[in-house]
Amino acid sequence: MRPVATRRRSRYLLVVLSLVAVTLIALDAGGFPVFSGARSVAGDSAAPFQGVVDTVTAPFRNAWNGVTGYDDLVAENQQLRDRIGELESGAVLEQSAREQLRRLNEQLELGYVDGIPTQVARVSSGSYSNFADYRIEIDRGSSSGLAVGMPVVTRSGLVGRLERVGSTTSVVQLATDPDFVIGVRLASTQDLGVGRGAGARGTFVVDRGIDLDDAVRTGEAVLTSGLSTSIMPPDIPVGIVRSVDPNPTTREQRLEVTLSAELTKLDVVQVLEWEPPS
Amino acid sequence: MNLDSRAVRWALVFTVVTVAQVAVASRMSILGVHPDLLLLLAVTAGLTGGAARGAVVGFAAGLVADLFLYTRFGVGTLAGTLTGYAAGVAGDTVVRPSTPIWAAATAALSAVGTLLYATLGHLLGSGTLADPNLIVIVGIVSGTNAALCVPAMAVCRWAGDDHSAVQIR
Repeated sequence: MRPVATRRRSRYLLVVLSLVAVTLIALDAGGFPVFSGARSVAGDSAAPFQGVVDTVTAPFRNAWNGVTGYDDLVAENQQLRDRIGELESGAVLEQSAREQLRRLNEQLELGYVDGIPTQVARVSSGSYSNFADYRIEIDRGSSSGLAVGMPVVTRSGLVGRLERVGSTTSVVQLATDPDFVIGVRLASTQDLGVGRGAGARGTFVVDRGIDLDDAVRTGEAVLTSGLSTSIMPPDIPVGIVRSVDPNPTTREQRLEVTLSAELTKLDVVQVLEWEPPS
Repeated sequence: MNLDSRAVRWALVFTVVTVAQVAVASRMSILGVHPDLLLLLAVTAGLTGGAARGAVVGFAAGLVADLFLYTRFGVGTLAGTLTGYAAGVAGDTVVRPSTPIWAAATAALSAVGTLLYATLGHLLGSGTLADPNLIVIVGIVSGTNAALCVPAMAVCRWAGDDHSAVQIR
């Protein structure tokens, strides 16, 4: 047991450090810009280390992930086999599925990136936190002309938007983040609504703006609205309506949307050099 | 060993642990959960050096972690400070130190630190306590930290230059 004076000093230190930490939290909550800058600098500083260590430790990490992810690999292999079986049996060519594919292809062929310059970026890391925080880091930053707010997409559709931009790296807020809110439009009816990330369920929901009277079917394509005040350019595929849940109380429908882009397996993304209106 | 020398040692330890966390540990996962080396550092610093050192190292470790996290800045710092202090208090109560006891203490304190971080984050609106993987995260972080506690404690003793103090204790 330590002397009383030492314990008293420890408690005093604990109080002081805790107060400093609480102050940091309060300052960040108030939008103090230093923290965002510090995080960008930290991300930029870590990038070279990551590159070197990646090269050196790649065989070891691959072996580790191969061992610990063996069950996932087996499951993925089985899924692929099932998928091949489905394709071979022609199930995917059923009329409704064909219609969904046709609509999706239509949206993809809209060329939503036409006329907007893009930057191809590699996903340099996932989250450092073990908890879901709906963020990824990419290896492009302000030195490549990127800026906060720019949309991030894949060929399949919307991924998210740039939340923080450092010199050589940027942080992307994923579309599954509950704080990610955008205007959306239904492809067939042109109805406008507001959608947001659905968090841990890994999907997207449209829970405002779609009236009970609006005819919405599962399989409907959902796009960004592109209204003049929107934070996204128009016609970026968001996803496909998976379920429709009418709410008589609010007189609106709640749509669960499966995102077009597979956010858990991102490797390369495109950043649209389009900035939302200020 | 003077204060400057210890400061240099701790700076070296923090640099190596941060690079290891960011570049290696964050990319190696078990069931999607990766080891938390900065939390391990806070816990083992407390266990080997007492509450004051645990609080200071926990504060610094949390501050470094906050630089790489996307949640509210300061949450990791507060959680690290409290966990390091708790580790110091717990370390003082160990009468007959042995590897299994240190491993169990590290596992328990890592669980406390992870839950504390989740709770503080949840109170600030990040929904971490509702994470469906919470139990898995706590279990795997505790387990990996327990497995790494012996070398981590050796590093903390070296940085704090307190081999003799530990033997006396």
